[in-house]
Parts: sequence; structure tokens; C-alpha cells
Amino acid sequence: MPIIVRLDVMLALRKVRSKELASDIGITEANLSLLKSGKVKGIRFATLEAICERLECQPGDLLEYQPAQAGTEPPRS
Amino acid sequence: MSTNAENDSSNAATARTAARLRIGILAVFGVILLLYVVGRLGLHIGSAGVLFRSHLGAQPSAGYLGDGIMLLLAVAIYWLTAALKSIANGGLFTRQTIRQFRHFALWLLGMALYSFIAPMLLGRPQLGKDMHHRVMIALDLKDLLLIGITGLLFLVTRLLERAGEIEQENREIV
Repeated sequence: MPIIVRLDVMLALRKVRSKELASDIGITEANLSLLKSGKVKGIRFATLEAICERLECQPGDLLEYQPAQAGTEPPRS
Repeated sequence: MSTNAENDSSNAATARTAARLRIGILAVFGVILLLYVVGRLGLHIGSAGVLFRSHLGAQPSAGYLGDGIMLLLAVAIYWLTAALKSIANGGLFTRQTIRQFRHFALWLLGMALYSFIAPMLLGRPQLGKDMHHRVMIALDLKDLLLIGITGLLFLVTRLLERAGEIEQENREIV
């Protein structure tokens, strides 16, 4: 999928631990880990809103669109 | 997330309903089975006699027909209670629940078909005035309706499978 999750970068910039964020926004650490690694099919607006509120950032800071290059097969999740 | 909390609360309510329904079904079927056995053996409950009556009359085959129906119904009820137990344990759309529900539908359909076809096969041919043997075929609309309804249960099974797929997809959205 050409959508890259930059959550780990934002966590590092804001100096917030994954465990702390998961607890604050009310999702499991396992789900947050899956989100960080991009191994999810989607993200709820409610989750996105909670992360943006906690990390004081915009959705664009967390997600990035990288078009797949011609000839390269997109990675399977 | 509030969505997850709402889902958990709804699932817990469904599990409780399934657990209660299972107990109710077991109790009702237990009473039916007890009355059937008492009636079949010609026993009494206290001073009250229980009468076993079949639309096949007093033929010996009437008892076998009833026994067959009760046996098939007992197996169907077993699978239904197993499915309800799985739901009560939290497995709303799991493969196990769907498989148990499919077994229930299959055995109930077997019972409906048996109760529809067996009387025709077990009915003793009557000797008419013209000395020809005659077999009476009686079509009961209730039996036909039961077959139709059990057929619908297979559609419910397909819907449960689809719901399971949607639940799996939903689990992959955080």
C-alpha cells in the first residue's frame, strides 16, 4: 500500500512512548504496534483524531502517500 | 475508543441472551422429551396419564415415526445449544459457531423431511373395496412450512459467514 504511517517519527519528535499513547487514546498496544508498522487495513477517524489531539499534530504528519514506482510490486500486508 | 466499548457492551449483552436462551431451550426440550418418554411407555406422572397419539393411528409404525422425529430433534437441539454456548463464550461469528449452526440447520431439515416423508412410507397400504391396495398420502402444510423455514436457516448460516468476514475486516481497522 502506498500509504506510509509516520507515527513512530511523531512519537519520537514528541518524546511520547507507544505504551503511553495507547493508554491515552484507549487502544491496545498490540493495535498501536500494528498501526505503526502499517499492518492494518484502515484507521478510524476517531483513532486519528485522538492521536492528533494527543501528539498535537495534523493527520498529514502521521500519514504519507508514496506512489508505487513502475515495475516494482507493492508490498503485501 | 468509544466504538470498541460499545461493541464490547453489545457483545456481552448478546452473550448473556444466548446463555439464557440456551438454558430455556434445554429446559423446554427436557420437558418435551420427558413427556414423550412417559407417553411412549404408557407411564403416569402422579395421577395424570400421558397419552401418546399419532396421526398414523394405533399402528406400531406410529411409535417408530415419533421416535425418529424425537431423535433427529434431539440431535438438532444439541447442535443449537452448542452454537449458543459458543456465542455465550464470546464467539459470535467464529467458524466453530457457524459450523455448529449449520449442523443444527442440517439436522432440523432432516427432521422436517423425515416427518414429511416417513408417514407416507410407514403408512400401511389399505385394501380397498375393489381389492386393490391403496396408500394414503397426506400433505400437511405445517410440515411443508417447517421444511421452508429450515431451508431459510441455511441462508442465515451464509449471512453468519459473511458477518464473520466483516468482523475479521473490522478487526484489522484500528
